Amino acid sequence: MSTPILEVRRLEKRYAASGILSRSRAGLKAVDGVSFAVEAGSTFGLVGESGCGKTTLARALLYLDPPTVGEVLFEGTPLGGLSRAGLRGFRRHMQIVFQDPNGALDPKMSVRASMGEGLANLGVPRAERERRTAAALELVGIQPAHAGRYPHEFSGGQKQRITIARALSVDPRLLVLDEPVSNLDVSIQAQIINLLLDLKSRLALTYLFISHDLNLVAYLADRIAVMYRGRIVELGSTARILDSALHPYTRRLFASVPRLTGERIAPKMEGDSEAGDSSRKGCRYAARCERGELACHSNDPELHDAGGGHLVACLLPEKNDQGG
Amino acid sequence: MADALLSIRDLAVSFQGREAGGSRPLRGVDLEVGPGEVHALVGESGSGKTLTATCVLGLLPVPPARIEAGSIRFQGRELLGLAERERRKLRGRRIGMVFQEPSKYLNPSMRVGEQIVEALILHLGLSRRGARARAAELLELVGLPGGRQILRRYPHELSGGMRQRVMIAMAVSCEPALLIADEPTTALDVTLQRQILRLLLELRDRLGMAVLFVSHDLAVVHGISERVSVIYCGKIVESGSRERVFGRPLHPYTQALLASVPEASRRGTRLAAIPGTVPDAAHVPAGCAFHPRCPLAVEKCRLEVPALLDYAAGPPGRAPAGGEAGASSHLAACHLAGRS
Amino acid sequence: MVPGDPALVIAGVDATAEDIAAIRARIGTDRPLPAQYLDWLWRVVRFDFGTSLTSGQPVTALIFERFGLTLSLALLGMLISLVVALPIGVVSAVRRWSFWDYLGMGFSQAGMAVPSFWLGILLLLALAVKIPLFPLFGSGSLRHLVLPAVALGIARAAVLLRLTRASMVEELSKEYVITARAKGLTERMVKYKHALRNGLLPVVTIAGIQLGYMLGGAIIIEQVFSLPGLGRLFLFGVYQRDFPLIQGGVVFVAFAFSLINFLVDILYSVLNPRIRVG
Repeated sequence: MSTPILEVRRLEKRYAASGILSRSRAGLKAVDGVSFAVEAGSTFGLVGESGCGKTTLARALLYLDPPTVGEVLFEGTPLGGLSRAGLRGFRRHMQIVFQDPNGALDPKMSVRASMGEGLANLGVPRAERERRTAAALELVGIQPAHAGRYPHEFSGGQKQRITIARALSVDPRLLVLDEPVSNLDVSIQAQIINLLLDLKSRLALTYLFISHDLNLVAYLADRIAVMYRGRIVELGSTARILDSALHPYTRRLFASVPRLTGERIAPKMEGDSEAGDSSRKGCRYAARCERGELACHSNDPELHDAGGGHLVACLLPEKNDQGG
Repeated sequence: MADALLSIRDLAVSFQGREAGGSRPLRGVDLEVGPGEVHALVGESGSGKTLTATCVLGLLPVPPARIEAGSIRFQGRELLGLAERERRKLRGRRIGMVFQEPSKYLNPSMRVGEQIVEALILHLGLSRRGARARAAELLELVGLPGGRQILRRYPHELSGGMRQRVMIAMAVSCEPALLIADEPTTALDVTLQRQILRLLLELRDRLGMAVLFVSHDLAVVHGISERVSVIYCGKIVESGSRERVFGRPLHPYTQALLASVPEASRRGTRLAAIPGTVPDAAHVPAGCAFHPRCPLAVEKCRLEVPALLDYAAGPPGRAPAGGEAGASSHLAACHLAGRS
Repeated sequence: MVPGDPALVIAGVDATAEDIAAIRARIGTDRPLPAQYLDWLWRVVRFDFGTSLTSGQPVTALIFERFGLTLSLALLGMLISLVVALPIGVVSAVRRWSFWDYLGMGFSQAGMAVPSFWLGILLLLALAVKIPLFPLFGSGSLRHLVLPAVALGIARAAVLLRLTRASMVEELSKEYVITARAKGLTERMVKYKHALRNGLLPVVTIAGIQLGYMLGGAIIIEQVFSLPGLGRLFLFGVYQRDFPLIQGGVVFVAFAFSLINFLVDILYSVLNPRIRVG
């Protein structure tokens, strides 16, 4: 098997707990021992609910906010060992597109200036910068003649195209897409998704696609990792995750997604599922899990291969032989 | 339908002033909500869906906004032109409202209990003690057991899902006949979203109220609604039962929206994206507002505003919307509807 | 270093070189500066600011003797400032762009532009000389404090008024205000029960800082109204090169300033449940 384009090994990101009287001395673990590999040319989906650590993970693996523990390898090269200059060189291979283009584009800079910055950092000469900026804008469907304009002169969808163009201008091989269409209207979302699909095949890109929108990830991704409270609880091919998920959380998550097909939602009174705090020791999903047993509260399950590259972290994984 | 709970006809709203530049965000909205019905109003941002809800509540900021034409009848009574005092008596009493982001829509420096209790005292004339007891019951009703303790909390001490439940408890506290829910689950995670949707349906059944569910999310609307109205550029373009609108959409905009939703079943195919962007309210195209983005548009679409007609029985009967539109109607505003 | 030698001031014009050297040795200014500084620091941590060079009394005693007057002046000034600023600011925000708003804003502009000593002199001329409602100078009763407190408070009121207005305008545009309206509450309840509470939070913080400034800023006003407060004491110290007095005064005012800010922070956390601990 070839070397994966991106490999993350036991990555941890802790934040020092603020305040003198904080409870945990070790600090808050936003990401707690996450490992996965992304094959070149694939789309790897990372899903989870808010606060599960997916954005923290994205920032840590790009060394925008370096991990506390663990390794990130890009085409086999560990990023942790690189100098600041070395890391800057590597960044051109891995770019990120954020959810909110308004935050990502400086309102006081023209599109040309915003896009030129990254290239200038890489030492690209001015004339070449112009050419690459124009080419990248062309690629995402923005007229290069508009490069002199400012962000407020563009619509939300166009701004997101520009941030994608900016990421592409340095010729990256991996794009980390952190909720890139969540702020956009339905009709514009589809435009951007189609654009991303086109770009991927034209430029032989690899995507790490982070989203809370399960329908979208199910549509785009080849493999899906499901995060819960800082951990990956299940990882497998999209088909496996959708049709034969092993972790109760994954099942619940995908069962909750509203779809354009299927029945109306049945009225039902349910308590607040957020209320339960999972035990410190055992599985962090145990308190919410309908299958939880005594053992789940004392043993923390490791992510292990359940066969065929389908990984799950559960002591009592669902059984699929009955076609569940 | 004569016994409609809420009947909006030809509602037009404009904004005056330097910035708005005489825009018309609502250009004649027609909408009927029957008693006890879950009616979804679907549209993209800027389509006028929230503004429509704002008009029903009577919270339109006048000026800069101005209601140019139309009528809003609620329980047989015309709301437009009603004195502010009278409208206030309806708000929170007969018409409740739930908003998108509970963290912003709850007063951060006031205990949750006080925020629920004030409407009960005002509208139902309960004593403070009685109102508190009722508020605790309401919290239990929306799935927050141990309501008494929660009454004493401040919004920031609650989780996002709990806050939305509090918001809902507030909105249904006086058992309104109509609950307007404006993107009530958009800010929530999927598992919570489902819980809240189920809760809204459960409350509808228990309290017998109608729900006007305002959303941009077609999948959510598919999950919760009984009737659906699609709004584009301040005009309803299609309205009908959930089965009809999702199963046999008549308007090219509805069709395009449905085709643009990513789902696992569409893997490997390109999404049918709608070209262009939603026009802003100051520059709505002439004729059918959707024509510049419509793949089927013909000359007539550029020139003539299509009327909202009933296609339920096949050929369009010339029954203007809101008129005799029964529960089985399927309205569309398109010159080409039903021709395919 | 500050020019001027306290020994020369104490000794007077016809002192001999020996006299001056003796005085320097007595008050310790003949020693190296770092030694003097360390010595002073050591005494300060024990709340001993030394003795005044001019009066021979302990500095601490002198300060406490005068502090009451300055504190009353500052508190009264703050009270006047709040009484003026809060209602006008709130009305300005609630009736934005109305006649009352423009009037309030005009008042605020004027209040910020007019120096308080000049206002003080005007007040004296009008309400003590022309119409003798208030005493021209002296201290000891509340009546003596009214005019200086007004002079001191008006400039602060101008700032607080703008802040109150801006803060209320912001709160009134927040989403929870829409919720309050959607509940059918009257406009009065929406504005004064819901928005006001949140709108006043930033005002509390700034008013606290203003109070601290007033303690120091009373110097000029005390001079104008001939009030024997801290300000005049320190000014006197400066004229007389009474270094222990000046140093003690600076440390004291800084300490008082910090203490007030601390108290305001506590008050703020009581008013704002979001930052309440535990």
